[in-house]
Amino acid sequence: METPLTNISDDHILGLLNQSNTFEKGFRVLMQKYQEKLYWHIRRMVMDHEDANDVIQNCFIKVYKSIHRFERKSKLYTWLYRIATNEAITHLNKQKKKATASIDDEESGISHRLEADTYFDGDEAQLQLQRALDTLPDKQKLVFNLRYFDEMSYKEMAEVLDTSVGALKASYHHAVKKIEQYIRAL
Amino acid sequence: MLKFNKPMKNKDDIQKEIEELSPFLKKMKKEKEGFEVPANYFRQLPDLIMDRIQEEEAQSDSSAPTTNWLDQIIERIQILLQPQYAMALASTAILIVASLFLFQQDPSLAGESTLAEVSDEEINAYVMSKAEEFELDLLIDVIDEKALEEEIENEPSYDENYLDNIIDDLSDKELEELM
Repeated sequence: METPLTNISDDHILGLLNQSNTFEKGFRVLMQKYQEKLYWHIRRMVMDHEDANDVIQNCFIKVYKSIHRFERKSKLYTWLYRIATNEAITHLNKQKKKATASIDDEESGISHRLEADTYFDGDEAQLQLQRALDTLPDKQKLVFNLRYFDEMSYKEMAEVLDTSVGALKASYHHAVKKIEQYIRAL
Repeated sequence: MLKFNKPMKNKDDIQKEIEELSPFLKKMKKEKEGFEVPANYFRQLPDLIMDRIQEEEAQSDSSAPTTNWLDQIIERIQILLQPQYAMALASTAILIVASLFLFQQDPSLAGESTLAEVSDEEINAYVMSKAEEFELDLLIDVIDEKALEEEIENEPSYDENYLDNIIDDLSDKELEELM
C-alpha cells in the first residue's frame, strides 16, 4: 500500500533531494506534499486564482533553485512558507504599483476582484470576511491568516515571519478585533 | 482544504484563543472559505512546474556560455598564439608600428602619396587655370628646374654672328621700326 504524501517525512524528502539520481523524484514528492497548503496560503493573500497560480509556480521554481541552500536550521515547511510569503508579498507590491498608476480604483477593489474571479463562490458572510481582511495592513493580514486559517503555532509563525512571538500575539489580537468591528459595522 | 497535522493541543489552543477573543469570528469559521480551483488543478500543477523548470533550464543552457569569461579569453589567446596566426599577427603589428614611426617623423609624407597619384597634365592644367591667383614665387617653385636648364641649353647662343644673321634677314623698314 502506498504511503499517503502527508505522511512522508521531510527527512525522507530531503534525503531524496540530496542525491542527483533521486532529486527530481524528491522534488515532485515535496510539491505533492506541500502544494495545497502553500497554494491556499498564497490564495488568501492574493485573492484570485490566476494570480495565486502564477505565484505558486514562481515559488516552487525558487524552491527548486535554492533547496541546496536549505541548511535545516528551521523546519522544511516553515522555510517553504517563508518563500511563498515573500513571493506573495512581491506580487502584491507589484499589484499596488499598478493600481496606483491606474485611474480606475474600482477595478482593484476587493469586491470587484472577487466577483470577477470565476473560482470564488463564497456566500455573503465569506465576502464580508474578505472585505474586512482587505482593510488590514499586509503583515497583519498575514498573521491573521496563518493563525486563523492555517492554525500555525506562534513559534512556527515566528520562524516564517522573522518576528517575535509576543509581537505576533499582539498583532493577531488586534487583527481579530478590527475584523469583528468592521463586519459588525456593515 | 488541507490543514497541517497539528498536535491536538496546538489546535485546541487556537480554538480556545479565538473563542476568548471573538466568539463572533469563531462562529464565522467554516471549512470552506469560498475559494475554488479548476478541476484537477493540484493533480496537474507539479507537471506544469516541472515543464517550466525544464524550459528555463533549456533557455539558460542555450544562452549561457559553456565556459566562463576568463576561460574564453584564455582560449582565444591560445588560438592567436598558434604559429600560422602568430606570424600574421606579428607581421601586421610590425607594419602598423613602422607606419606610425614613419608618419611621426615626416608628417608631409602622409599627403605626398595622395599628390603622387595626380598626373602632371592635371597639375599643369590646374596651375594654368589658377595662375592669376598664385604669387610669382610660388609659380617659380612649380617650374621644373631641370626642364628649365635643358631649355636654356638648347637655346641658340647669342653670339655676334647670330645677331648679324638676324639683322641680315630684316628689311630696312623693319630695322628702322625696331631701332
